[in-house]
Amino acid sequence: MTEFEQYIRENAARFDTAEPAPGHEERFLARVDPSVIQRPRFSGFRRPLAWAFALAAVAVALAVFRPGASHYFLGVPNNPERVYRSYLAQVEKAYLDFPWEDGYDWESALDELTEENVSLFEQLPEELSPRRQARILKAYYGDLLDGVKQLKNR
Amino acid sequence: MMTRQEITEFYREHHRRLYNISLRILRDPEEAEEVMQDTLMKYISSPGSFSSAAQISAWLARTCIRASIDRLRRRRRRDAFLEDYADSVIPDEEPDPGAPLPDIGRIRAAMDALPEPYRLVLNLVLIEGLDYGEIAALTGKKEPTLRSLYSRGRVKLVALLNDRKI
Repeated sequence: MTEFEQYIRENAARFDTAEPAPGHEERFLARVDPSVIQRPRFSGFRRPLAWAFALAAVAVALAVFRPGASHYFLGVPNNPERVYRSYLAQVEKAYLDFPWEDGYDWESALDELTEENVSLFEQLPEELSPRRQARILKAYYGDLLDGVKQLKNR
Repeated sequence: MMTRQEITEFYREHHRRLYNISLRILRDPEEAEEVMQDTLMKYISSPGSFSSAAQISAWLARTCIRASIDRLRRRRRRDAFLEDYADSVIPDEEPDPGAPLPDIGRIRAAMDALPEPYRLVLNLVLIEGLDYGEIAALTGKKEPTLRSLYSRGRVKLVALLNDRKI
């Protein structure tokens, strides 16, 4: 190997200078299938933070619980992942259905309403039964979908 | 399985290297991003049992290279192309003796300017550090063809740098 080749090999890491287009991380996270994400585990509720986290999540869900909002998930079994997938599908449909040509910034409005930095689906403690989790998710996401409906009828 | 936080950190740790590997092979930013993300997704969906970070890094790089080469194949341009380039005769050339080695930015630009088969083999040998056996397994080409492409590609690279065309 010549000095020139050796020089390139020794500096190989310096060839990695390009960055993907802005938004690449968000695009990646949007592609990650929820079923491959491990939900947070709170070992036996021993840690105070875990308690606070779990209670906050349940409190938020209970605060917004309104039986009427669950109708967006008729026919969806009480399985948390199925509920979350159904919610994502309905949001996607909303993006396609909105009247984009009317000049209103629907995309931002929908983003603000439906995007979660960390989804409630991922936050609910595993100590709750799947059925209970699914019911909380149906109420919470149903409420958000109600908001989407109101936006559409504005 | 990984938590969302772990997935995000894993992505931040590896995306740039994988993106650059793929970009050097495909020269298409959108395709390179897709390949990079597919590679990371593959790992996250089925992390396997690696005993060290180096093994994970090596697996990611190989998977990314293989996927990028598969995309090249799908472009249906390369097969005959590789052999054609390997057969042509080019006189040997070395960097100007005594001259300082060119900076990495110039070498990078010169490598980018090489025709596809030379660029691919030079990248895999010099930057990814693969041996001819590994490259043969990834590309389905015989080692003598790859050696010839490497040798001719290196000469072309040096010529570009010596001619100050880059």
